[in-house]
Amino acid sequence: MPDETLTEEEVDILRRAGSDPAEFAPLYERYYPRIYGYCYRRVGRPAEAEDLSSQVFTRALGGLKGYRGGSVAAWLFQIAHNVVVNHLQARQRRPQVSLENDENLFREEELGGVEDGTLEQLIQVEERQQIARLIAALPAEQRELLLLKLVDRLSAKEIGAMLGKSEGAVRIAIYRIMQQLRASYEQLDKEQAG
Amino acid sequence: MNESNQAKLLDEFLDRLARDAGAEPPAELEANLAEFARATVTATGNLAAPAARSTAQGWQKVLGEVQTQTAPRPAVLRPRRNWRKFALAGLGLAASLALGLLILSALSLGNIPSPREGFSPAAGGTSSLSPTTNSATLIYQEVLQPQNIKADPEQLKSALDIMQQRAKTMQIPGLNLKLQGSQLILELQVQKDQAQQFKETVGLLRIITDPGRIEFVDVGTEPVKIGEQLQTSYCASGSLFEKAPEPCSTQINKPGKGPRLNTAGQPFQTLLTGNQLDFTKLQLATADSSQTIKFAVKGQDDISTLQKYLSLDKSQQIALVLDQQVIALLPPKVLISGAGEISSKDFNLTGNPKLDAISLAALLKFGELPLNFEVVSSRQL
Repeated sequence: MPDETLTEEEVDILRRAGSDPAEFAPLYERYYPRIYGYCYRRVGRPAEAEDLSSQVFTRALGGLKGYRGGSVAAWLFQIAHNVVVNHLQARQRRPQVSLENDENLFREEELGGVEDGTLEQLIQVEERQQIARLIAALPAEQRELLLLKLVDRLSAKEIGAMLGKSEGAVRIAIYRIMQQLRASYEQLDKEQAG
Repeated sequence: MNESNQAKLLDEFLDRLARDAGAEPPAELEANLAEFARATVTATGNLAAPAARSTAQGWQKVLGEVQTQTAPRPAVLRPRRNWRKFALAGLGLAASLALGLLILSALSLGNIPSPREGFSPAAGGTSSLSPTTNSATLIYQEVLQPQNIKADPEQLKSALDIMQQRAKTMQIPGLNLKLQGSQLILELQVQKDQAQQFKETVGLLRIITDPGRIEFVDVGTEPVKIGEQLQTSYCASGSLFEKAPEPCSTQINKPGKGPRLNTAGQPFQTLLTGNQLDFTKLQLATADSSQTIKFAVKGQDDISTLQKYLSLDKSQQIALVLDQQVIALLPPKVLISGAGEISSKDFNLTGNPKLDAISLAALLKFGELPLNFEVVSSRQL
């Protein structure tokens, strides 16, 4: 499972960072893109995402003595989750990002070249776009859970630690979301075929 | 196979897909779901946020924040405005002891020979901020940050330059200043056997980091005391020579709170600021056991303007104000006599308020800081 266990290097870095915060730099380099990506997806504004990411690492370093082992990613994402939730509560509004509305999240050029593609490629592009639209239409909580798995690449255990759920509950929830998405996709497919 | 097992298989497959897009699904996982899972992973694979790379600047910001948060907050941590009493008390003692050294010669500003309290510069006085220390060394460190969080880097650099010049003029040994991100780190290092001087020198740091706005303020006939905080017109309507700057760091106070307004409820009129002083004519001298500072108003036009203004009311008093605090009271004749020269002989500077001539010279010569700073942490090692 990705990032679920500490590597010896990470253990060493965390130990040294306990006495000298500057030693944490390699972990900052390693995890910043993922933490930023998460924050950005939740708040939808680059400047805010940058600020929140800084807060995440500041809190992580400030609370290093309270770290009790386990995945560094899970630990950082848990802090990120709390930081983002606090931030959004302060803004007193829902997250601004909609997968339907934000071109940065589903970039068409990455989905495949439509003009020059073969029929098979065109179908694949259409398929991805359709799935993207279905994910965008999910309730926010379900969508976030799925993206923590698929985009942030956290394990069920890490997501559970982050959201205060059991590993099993996270697995079941993701399984049901995927089943629901597949059913919706097949339904759309049938409608289009008919 | 039950839902729980299928969920576990799907979870494992999604983890494998994260590492390898071509991974094969477990045989027990529903084939349709496995195929859909692969398509979904592909569809979401490009959900990358823009500009998600870490930067050295970002890391320095985090590091600076952490150092600020983890610095011990001993008794020396205090609000910005509490420093002055401490600084002035230290200055008084420093000034009185320094007189013995200063009495020997009359000095020009370019050659101020009075090291503060005579303690020798500590090792590493010009080295980096993490000098090698030993048990005989005392280190005092402060972290300051601009009150305007989004301070311009150029302003920060300018502020650092001014502070360094002030420190040089005031001859504070063992002091290092540097910028770390948007924070300013001051580190003072002296020998432990000079602990008393160490305390006094810590007080002098406040002069180094002081915003340093000098104003000559018309207080009319109102009773004004040295040490009193005045609301001046500088940030509202400017001085006789300048419009109010934008932005202006002095906050407009509310009636009954903060620096006082005049009896008409208006700010006291700022006549001129350090901007109208000619620093090339700045002189510091010692005679008759006391230090005096001489400075002059720029240009005859400015002097004429002052003379015209001050001739309106002969009972006026002029307050010399440093960052809204009265540090001396001057008779108007000081400002209108001769060629606009002003000498601290004409007003009491070395007695009360204990801001000595060297400090005032340092503040006048290098001007106001472009930013106001606040102490966010301080510690003694």
